[in-house]
Amino acid sequence: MLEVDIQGIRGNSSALFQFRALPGITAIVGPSGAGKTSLLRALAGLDVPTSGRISLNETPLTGAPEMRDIGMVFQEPRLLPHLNIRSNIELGRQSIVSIDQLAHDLGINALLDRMPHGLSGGEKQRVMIARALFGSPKLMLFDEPLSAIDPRLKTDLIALVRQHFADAKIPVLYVTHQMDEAAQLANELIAIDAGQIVAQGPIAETMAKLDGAAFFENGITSVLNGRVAAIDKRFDLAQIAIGEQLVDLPARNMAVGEEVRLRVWARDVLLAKERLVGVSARNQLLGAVETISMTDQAHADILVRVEGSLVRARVMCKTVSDMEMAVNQPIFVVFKSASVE
Amino acid sequence: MSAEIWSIVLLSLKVSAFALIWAVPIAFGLAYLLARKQFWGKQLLSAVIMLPLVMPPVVTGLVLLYVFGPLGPVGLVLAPLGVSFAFNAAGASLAAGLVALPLIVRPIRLSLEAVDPNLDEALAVAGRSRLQRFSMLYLPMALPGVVAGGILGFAKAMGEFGATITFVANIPGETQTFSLAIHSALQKFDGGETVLLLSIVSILISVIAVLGSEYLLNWLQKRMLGEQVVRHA
Repeated sequence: MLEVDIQGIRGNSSALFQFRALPGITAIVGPSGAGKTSLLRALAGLDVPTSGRISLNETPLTGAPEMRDIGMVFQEPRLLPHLNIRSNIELGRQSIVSIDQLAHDLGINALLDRMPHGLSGGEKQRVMIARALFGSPKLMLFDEPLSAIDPRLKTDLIALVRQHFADAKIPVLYVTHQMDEAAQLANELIAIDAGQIVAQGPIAETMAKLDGAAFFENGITSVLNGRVAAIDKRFDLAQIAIGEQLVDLPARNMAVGEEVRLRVWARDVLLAKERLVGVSARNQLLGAVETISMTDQAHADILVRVEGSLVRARVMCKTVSDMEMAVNQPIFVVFKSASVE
Repeated sequence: MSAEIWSIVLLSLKVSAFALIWAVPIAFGLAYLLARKQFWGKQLLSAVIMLPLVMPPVVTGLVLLYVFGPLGPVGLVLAPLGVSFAFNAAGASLAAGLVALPLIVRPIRLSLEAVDPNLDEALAVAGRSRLQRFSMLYLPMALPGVVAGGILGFAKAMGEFGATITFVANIPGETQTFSLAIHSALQKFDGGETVLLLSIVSILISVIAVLGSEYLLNWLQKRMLGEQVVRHA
């Protein structure tokens, strides 16, 4: 377990970070300049905080970066241009990890004897992940590793990170300014802004508490956790159980019993006082209004509690008054599509 | 070619080679300090290193004489150890290396300054110590600079005249390198042939050195394929 309690980092003198991270992926999300990179640099020992303490598995994490047993993947790949990929992963270190197995798992076994210059950004970041894993780190840090990657390749790399780190036995901190990435990867979320933690906790709950464009560049989303209950092969549909209720989504490669995470865009959500009939949107979940907040003169955000998760819907203020919405009132959340991880 | 010419060629090569042997490591250290460290008096050090390039070589020779000569402070300390720079090839190497030093420091400094400090950080996080980072990152990345600086310094050492003649005089077989031998031959009534031969040989050696450095730099660049290699010369 990682325990952080630090104040003041270079370039961010007012920074104040206090949190714990358990094994598995914790996403750290915040707008540019929020202090995300400063935080990771302090953990890696590249910058020294003014005061406070960091401990990993109940041992203080201090001293030079090379003494800390940390794996780090930076925004841009940092490969030595004069060494081939194998040497760039090994860096002259001994390891219990087999480099060939590692390269195979990360899909870079064909690259081991090549020099870094001809590799794509995505391939280089895979090599950086291999380098980090080769050192059997006790803490893994990702500093916006996809920011310089071709958008088409991001999905692959996100899947790879999830596959290798979601069930990791070490804490993995994944910094990003894209809530989408966080929602696809992490179980825990720490949202930071202006050098302070503004929200932290399980990702679905924490995301629902956040609002504002600062955290959601690609639109505000909510997360619902579910399990695949059945697959309808004829229509390639998966029935996903969210608590006691069911929704239908394209099955793609889902398997019965699989845990899935649905992301629903606030702008795609309709609210209805009664179950709708004769509409094309297939998914209706019964919940209760948790909070109603005006975002501006025209819009309001409604948080609806559905089976323990919170779903955010963005509607017109006039709708709120026309529908006579009130806290705790039962309401149907209707959505057409969701992205599934 | 006569034995006399051969001995001059060999002596010149030997003096220049020994000049490089001591000057390149020191130049590397100085270049590393100037490129990567912040300290008080950095500008001053940088200027002092450049001095032999801009000072009249005769004055450089005089300074050497006063410091390393038999009565100089360093000369007096070294004498009991059996080390002497007075009027011998070691002294000629000292003079040639000192004059070449600024030319060696500069390209190494430039190539070290071009090393991305982010790579150093990445190696540190991966558990590599300061020394390991030095040999893994800075040393290989500075290699093109070392080659360019070494060749420049070698050429400068081969042609050294003023500081050498002032510090260790013009003694055949001991301190009489190319330039000094050409100078002596010019004074002789029948020295024309020697002057011509020595000049041709020195031009040949220079051409070989420059071609060799081009070849080496190209090879280094190919090794990093596509990566921009800082080149000077």
